[in-house]
Amino acid sequence: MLALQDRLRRKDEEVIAKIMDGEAVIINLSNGLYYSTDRAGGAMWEMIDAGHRLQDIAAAITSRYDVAGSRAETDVLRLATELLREGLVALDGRDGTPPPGLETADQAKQPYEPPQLTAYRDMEDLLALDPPTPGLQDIPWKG
Amino acid sequence: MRVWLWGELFWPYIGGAELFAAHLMLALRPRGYEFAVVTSHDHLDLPDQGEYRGIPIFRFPFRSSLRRGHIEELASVRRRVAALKREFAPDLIHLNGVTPNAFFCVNSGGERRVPLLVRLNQEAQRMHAGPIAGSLLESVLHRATWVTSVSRTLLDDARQLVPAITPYSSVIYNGVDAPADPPAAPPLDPPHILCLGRLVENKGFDVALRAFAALRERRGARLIIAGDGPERGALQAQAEALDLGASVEFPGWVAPEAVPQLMSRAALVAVPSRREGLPSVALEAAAMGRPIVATRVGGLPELVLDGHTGVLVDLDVTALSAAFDRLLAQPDRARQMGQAAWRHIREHFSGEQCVNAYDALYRRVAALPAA
Repeated sequence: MLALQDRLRRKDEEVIAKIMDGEAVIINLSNGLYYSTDRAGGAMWEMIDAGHRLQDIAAAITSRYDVAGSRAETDVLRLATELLREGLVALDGRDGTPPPGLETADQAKQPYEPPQLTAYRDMEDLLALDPPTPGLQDIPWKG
Repeated sequence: MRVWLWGELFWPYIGGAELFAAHLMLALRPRGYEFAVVTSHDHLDLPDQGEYRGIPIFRFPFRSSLRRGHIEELASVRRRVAALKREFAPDLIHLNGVTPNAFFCVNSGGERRVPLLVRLNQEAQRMHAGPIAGSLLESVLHRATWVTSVSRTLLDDARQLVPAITPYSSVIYNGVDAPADPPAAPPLDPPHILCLGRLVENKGFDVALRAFAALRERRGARLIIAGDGPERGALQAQAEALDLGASVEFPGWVAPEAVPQLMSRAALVAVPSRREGLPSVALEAAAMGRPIVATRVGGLPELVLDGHTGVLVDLDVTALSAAFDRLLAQPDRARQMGQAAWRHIREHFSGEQCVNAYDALYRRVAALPAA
């Protein structure tokens, strides 16, 4: 079971990810599964990926979003547990030096929605289906 | 109102979904709608931006970038979609069928959440063959502001898969413009059985071939399998193996404007599909006053009234062959069914009803908060 002192690391060889407009898109290359997060989830993923402790991530989230510290801690732990269960990250232990501290936000806090990790488990199967019009010639469409 | 019509493919690719989108946009444009089409590149070498009768088309490498799984390419596509979304500022996104590129539709970025209207067609049946949990279809349905389905059967399936959509989902049947007067009876010398559509496995044309070969009395009948697709070679080989010779024709792809003429040659139209939504070929056949022999799948039982406008069968060679036999042996009965089909279409599946329903729904959904 994860604790707030834990740090995780992305499975570099298998998992690629990108933050896009604050949301994370994650691909597990080993099984072809796609994932996405919403905004708060994207921020959490970015900090998890950078190797920060879960408690530091929750504190950073509390400073950036309009959310109570206890709620942020619960949500960070839940997202981290899901990422671990999906095999996207591994436990990095509690030892070692965490990266430099996280910046706290000075500006007005953003509205908060709990992080959501959305999985697209069928993407590989869907892409394997025949494309809608294979083998057709270039045909004029007289509409 | 500004609407993004988001589809797997669009002009010059052609199919039921593409024709539906084209007809709907052209019919709604005079009512004050401004459309743009967002769609995939596919095997044709087409520019990123095109136009169909004044409607802009924006093509993205959705499928290829997903298939390659290059995160930078995905990010680039998404950035381009988000930029276009900011520029066009749609009031509504109409997702015309749930296919892999829906991934970009529900992850299109941008600051503003836009109401999403999802139209389910037979593609959804292919997609939920696996578990619904953690699937793209589930994600799309959860994000939808409203869900329409081309048939009651498909809608019931979708509601069972994701019950949360029940209060914000409805059926809108596809429509077709039937002629004002009953179409003329078909020439019966010889009688033609017509199959029309993409030559793919789920259309069941292989079963139609075997049923045709098993006719007790062929009465000089001919079978036309019109359309093109990956199964064409296999179907032609099957016709040869069944020793059907010149009694089967494969005229290839048929232009939409040539379909009514082709239908007018047919004594009956066969729709022996394994899976279906509400196929346009069945609507067109009924509009042209042709009886339909169809399988009891998808929305077909909602369109074909068994024993009244056509005959419904299970996907079975013997049953299909018997239905062909019955209608070929009773041309007067077949003609009466065709006339009943024409009346049924005029009353319940007109193009105007479909367009009016989407017009009303667009206005309603655009005013709802986006999920």
